Amino acid sequence: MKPAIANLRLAPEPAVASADGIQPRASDSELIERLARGDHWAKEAVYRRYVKLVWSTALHLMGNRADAQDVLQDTFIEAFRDAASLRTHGALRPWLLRISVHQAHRRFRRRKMMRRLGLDRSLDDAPLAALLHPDASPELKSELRSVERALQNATAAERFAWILRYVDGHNLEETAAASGCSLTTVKRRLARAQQLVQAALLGGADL
Amino acid sequence: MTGPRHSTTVARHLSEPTPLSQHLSDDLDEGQIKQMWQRIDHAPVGGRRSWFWAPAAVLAVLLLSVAFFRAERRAEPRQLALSSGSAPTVLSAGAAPSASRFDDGSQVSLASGTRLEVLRNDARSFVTALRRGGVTFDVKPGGPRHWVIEAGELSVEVVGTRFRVERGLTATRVSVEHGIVMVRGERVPGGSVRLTAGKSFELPVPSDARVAPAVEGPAPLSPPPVVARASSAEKALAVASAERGPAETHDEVERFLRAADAARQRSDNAAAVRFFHLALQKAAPGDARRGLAALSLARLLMAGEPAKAAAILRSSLSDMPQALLEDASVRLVEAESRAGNRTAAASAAADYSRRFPAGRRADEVRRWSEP
Repeated sequence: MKPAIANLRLAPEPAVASADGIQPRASDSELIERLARGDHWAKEAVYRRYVKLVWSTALHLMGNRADAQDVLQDTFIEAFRDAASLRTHGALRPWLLRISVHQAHRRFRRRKMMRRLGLDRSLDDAPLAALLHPDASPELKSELRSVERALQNATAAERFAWILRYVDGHNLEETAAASGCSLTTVKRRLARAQQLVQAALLGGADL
Repeated sequence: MTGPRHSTTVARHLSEPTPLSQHLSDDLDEGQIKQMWQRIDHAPVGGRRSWFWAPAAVLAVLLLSVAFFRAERRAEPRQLALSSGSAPTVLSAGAAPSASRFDDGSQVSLASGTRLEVLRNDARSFVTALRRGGVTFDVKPGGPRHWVIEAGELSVEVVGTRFRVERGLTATRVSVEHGIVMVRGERVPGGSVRLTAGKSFELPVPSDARVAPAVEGPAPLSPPPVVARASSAEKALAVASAERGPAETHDEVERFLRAADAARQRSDNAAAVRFFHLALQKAAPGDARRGLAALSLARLLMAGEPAKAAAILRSSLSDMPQALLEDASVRLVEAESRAGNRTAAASAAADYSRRFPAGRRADEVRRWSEP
């Protein structure tokens, strides 16, 4: 049977793009222009349009609500501060995604170090299994737990790549761009993470 | 990603062409969105954070951590613990001597009838009060705690050495095997005396506070005079109780046991026999102290009146605390054997083997019961 995770269709557009409630409707390029001039309305418009994308990305990557809030905040602060450089970087969405993944990496590394030093006793309150819809089956929950346990044995970069690709549904190019690496590198990271996930699913709860 | 388990479970739940996020519920509500926007909108817009401050921040975190751990250690000073892990409050020895080892490597050996109370126990000091008896202290040199032993009028201070403190009814004696000990007290000449290895110091108990000997003249070993002499024994006991102060117990059995211990301390076996007899009489059936008194009494009578010792042990085995039962069983075999009752000795030996199939003292029992 074809792997179920490989069957997943990747979402072409963020669900929030058409539902940001910003009126009058402004295009991304218009927002970028106004953002570069320090337009306050444009900042809020960008925030409104992409907050859900950045939030879900940060939450899935961090597995912790407090950390995800910090990532979200730092992502938009960095984006507004560096908006002037955006005109050379192209679209707003992948740019924000890349900043949020970068911020998540920073915070993830810091959290790891602080936990190692015993200075961070926070618990990961939002693992993927805990975010499942209430009507999700116990089997799915159990499998997601196994997957998460398996991904703990992967590097942060491998884990992030797998989540961006298979949880958030970005395509390979988007995943590579968000991860700030080449397509080849992201494929290698995905292959390694996928190996661990496959072993976990085949091994069941034994992992 | 194929396999039997995967094809049955994951495929069933994730076969629809959607990313896993479609199964997740991670939406923000409007309140959270507004709240986070407030934080972002009011955040100071500055340049990129400089790495210049990173080492300073790491240093500050380290200093704070050290300060935190030091404060935590100060708040909860570590107590000296027995090797079993518990902090001692009272160390005492009943009929038999006992020894206790501490987690810092120090050790105390208590003579029978000794009571040592811990007054203070923290990371810097270990203060005890020797209420009665004798203790040999083996304090590990270089340890973090200052050991102090209060023995009546004397205060013995030490850092690391081996010495003995005995508190008798007529005198308190401190003798040092090695190391240096400082003995202080109001009646110590000059207020304090420094004792080095091989030296000892003895402070007599003032005559007005000294206990009158419980029995004058040769000590009869037979128990019949017990009732007749009870009044004189109790008189001596009253004096002894007065000397020990108000903290002592009013429990009669306990008082007789303590008086017997005190008598043994001054080598007055006859008085000890009578006090143990009184304790045996006063203790109710089932009281563990009845067994303790019986065993102590039997040991005192063993050499001179083994038949009597055997009778006492036989009649009190049922009251014997579990910790003393093996010793009492062995003593019974010994007493019967010493009294020439071979059959009774063999029978007691058989009882011992039944009670303690893997008894540590089986060889001793065999020696006493062999014809």
